[in-house]
Amino acid sequence: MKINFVNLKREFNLLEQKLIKDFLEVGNTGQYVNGKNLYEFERKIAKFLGVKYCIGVSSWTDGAILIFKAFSLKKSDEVITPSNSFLASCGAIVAAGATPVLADVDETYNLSYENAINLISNKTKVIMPVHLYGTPCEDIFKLKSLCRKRKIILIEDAAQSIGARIKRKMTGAIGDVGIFSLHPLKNLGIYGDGGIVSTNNKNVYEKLLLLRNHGLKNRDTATCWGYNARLSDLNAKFASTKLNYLNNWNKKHRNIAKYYNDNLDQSIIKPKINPNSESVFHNYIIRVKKRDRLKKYLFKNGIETSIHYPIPIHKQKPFINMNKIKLKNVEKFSKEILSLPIYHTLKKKEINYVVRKINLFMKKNRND
Amino acid sequence: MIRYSNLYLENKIILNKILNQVKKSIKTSKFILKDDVSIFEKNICKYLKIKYCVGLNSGTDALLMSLSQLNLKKGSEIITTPLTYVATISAILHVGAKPVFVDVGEDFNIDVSQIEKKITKNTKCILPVHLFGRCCDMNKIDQLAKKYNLSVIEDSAQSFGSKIKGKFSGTFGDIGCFSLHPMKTLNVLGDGGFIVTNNKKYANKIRTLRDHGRLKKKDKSLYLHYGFNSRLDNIQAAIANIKLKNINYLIKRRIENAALYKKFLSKEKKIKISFLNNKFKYYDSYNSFVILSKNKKKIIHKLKNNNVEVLQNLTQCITLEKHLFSDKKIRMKNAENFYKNSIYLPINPFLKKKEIKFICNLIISSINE
Repeated sequence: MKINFVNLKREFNLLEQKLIKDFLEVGNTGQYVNGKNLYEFERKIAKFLGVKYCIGVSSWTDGAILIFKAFSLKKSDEVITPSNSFLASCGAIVAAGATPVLADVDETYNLSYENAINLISNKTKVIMPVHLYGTPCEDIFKLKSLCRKRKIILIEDAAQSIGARIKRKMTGAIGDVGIFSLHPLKNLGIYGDGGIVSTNNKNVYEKLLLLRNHGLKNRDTATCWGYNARLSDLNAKFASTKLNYLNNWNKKHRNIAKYYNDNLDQSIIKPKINPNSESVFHNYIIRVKKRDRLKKYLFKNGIETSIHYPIPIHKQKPFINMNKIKLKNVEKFSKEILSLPIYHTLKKKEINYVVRKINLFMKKNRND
Repeated sequence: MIRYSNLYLENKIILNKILNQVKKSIKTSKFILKDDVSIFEKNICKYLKIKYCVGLNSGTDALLMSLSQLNLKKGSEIITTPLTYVATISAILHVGAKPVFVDVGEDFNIDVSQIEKKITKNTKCILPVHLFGRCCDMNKIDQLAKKYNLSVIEDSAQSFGSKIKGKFSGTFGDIGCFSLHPMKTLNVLGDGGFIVTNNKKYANKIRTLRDHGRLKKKDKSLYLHYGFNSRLDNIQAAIANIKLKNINYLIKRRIENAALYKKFLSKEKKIKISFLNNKFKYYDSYNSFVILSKNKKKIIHKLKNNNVEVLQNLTQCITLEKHLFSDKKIRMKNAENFYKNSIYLPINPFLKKKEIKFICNLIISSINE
C-alpha cells in the first residue's frame, strides 16, 4: 500500500464540479483583484470565526508583516514567539523591522504561560503564541489577561488552526488579532498562497485595508505608504466554497486522531489535548526515541511521514545571533517528533495500515 | 457601452484552456513553485532575451526585492519620476531610501536631460518608469549610470513587450521589474509579478528571498537568510504561459488601436496625444493611451453621456500630497499638469475600429462645441 503524506487530488475530485463552476464564474467577471468575491469571502469567514472583521491577504507571512507595521513596531520592540514553528513566524517579525524573542514550549508543543512570562521585558510589545498543529494554545486565556495587564499586544498565529476551538472560542478570535494561512496544505487550503487576518478592532481593520492595497483609500488616493498583499478573487471564491465543508472535514481529522490515539502502541507519546479544546489536527504528532529509524521503516513500507520541524527556528542559519540560546524542550522534541498522514480523505484501511506498521516496528524494537 | 477594459473578452476565449490547466495543476497538487513557474521563467527569458527571471507575488514586491539588493543606507537617494503608480515610491521608502524626483518630459516619462543635476554623492540608483508602454531614454540613462557608477532598476510594470531598437524594456538596467496584474498587457487572474536580470547574484538572492530565504535542493532545503513569502502562484504562472503564446497579437492590436486614435485626433490643436512624436522609433506597447486637454471636464462629460468608459486621475500629483511628503518645495510642473489634464481612453485589444472612431468624434465635437 502507498500512503502519501498529503493527497489534495482526492479533495479536488470530491469538489471538482463546484470548483469549476466557481472558476468560470470569477473568470467571466473580468474582476480578479479587490472584487466582490473577495469581500463576500471576508464577510463569510468573519461570521464563521465570530469576529467583526476579516481581511484577505496574500499569505500568512504578508498578513503578519502588515499587522506588525499597523502597530508601528520598531527595531527595539520585542515579539515573543515559540521556536517550535515554521520559520516564517520569525521571518515576518524580522521583515517588519522588529526583534523576535524565541521561547520554549511545553509538552503540548505550544507556548506556555511560564515560558512567556520569563521572557517579558520592558521592550516586549507583542506576544504571539502559535496554535501549532491545529491545537489551541492551552494558556491562551492566561496569556490574554497577562497581555491586558502589561499592555502587550496579543497576536494569535492561527496559520494551522482554522476552526479549532478552546472553551468554545475560535482560535484567532481571542487575541487582538489572529492570522491564518490558506496555503494549499492547510485544513482550509486554496490553490496558491493566501491568508486571512481577523480582528475585532476597527482601527486595525481599517489600517490593514490600506496597507494591503498600496495605502489607497480608493483607486487613486494614497493615505499612507502601503504594500501589495491582496488575496485574489479566484482563491477567495475557492476558499468560500471549501469553507462550507470545513467543520465536517475538521471532524474527520479528529476522528482519525482518535483512532491513532486509541490504537497506536502504548509506548508512543501522543498529542496531549486539553479537554476544553477542540483541535483540528492539521498535523498528528507522535514522539518516539527511534524517530529516524521509524521514519525510514515506514517509508520502505509505502507510508510517507514528515517532521514539523526538524530544525528549531533558533538553530536556523538566518537567526545566527540566537543560535546560542538553549530551549530544552524544542531541541529535544525536534529529534523525536514525527507527523503521520492525516487528511479528511484518508481511508479507514489506510489509517489501519499505518497503525499496524508502526506497532509492528515498536514491537520489534522494544528491547533496543 | 464601450468599456475601458475588455478583460473578460480576452479571457473568455481562452477560459477553457485555462480551466484545463488549472484542473491539471490541482489534480497533480502543483501549487507552490512547481514546474509551471520555472517554465514561465524560461519562457520570459526567451521572450525578453535575458538570462534570469524570478516569478514573484506582485510588481510591487518585484520593486521591493530589487531595491533591497542595492546595499542602501539611510540617506541613500534614488532618482525617479513623480508620474507613476504609488507603489514605485512606496517601494523606495520601504527600503529606507529617499526618492528624488525629476519631472517628466514630452512623453510622460522621466526627463533625462534633468537627471544629471539631481545626482549627489548620496545617489545610488536611477529608477526609470516606462509609463504607458513607452520606454524611457535608456541610452542616456545608461550613460549617466556609467558616469556616476549608479545602479539602474527599471519599473517595467506597464511596458511588457516595449522595445528600443529590438531591445526589450526591463533588460537595459541591472534589474527589470514587471507586474502581471489584470490591467497589464501580459496579465493573470489575480496578482503576480517577476523580475528579470542578467546578474546571477541578484537572481539567486531574489529567488531565495521570495521563499522565506529557502534554497531548495533535490533532497533537502536550507534557510540561507531572512526572507519573505512572495511566490508567483503556480496556477497563475500556468495561466501566464497560455497568455504568452498570444501576447504578440495582443500588443499588435493595441498598436493598431493607437494608430487609429492618432489618425483621427492628430489634427486637433486643443488636445495632446500619447507618443505622437516617435523620433527615436521606439516600439510602444500601449498599456494605456492618454490624451491631455484643458477641456478635460467637457470631454469626459460627453464621453460618459454616450456610454464610453474612460479613466482619469482623481488625485493631484503625489509630490503635492502633504500627508505623504512634508517637503512642500517639490514642484513638478509637467507632472502636475498631467494630473490636471489627462484622460485615459480605452485601448484594449478587443476594441473595434468603429468604436474608436465613435470615441474620437465625440472628443472632437465636445471641444468644438
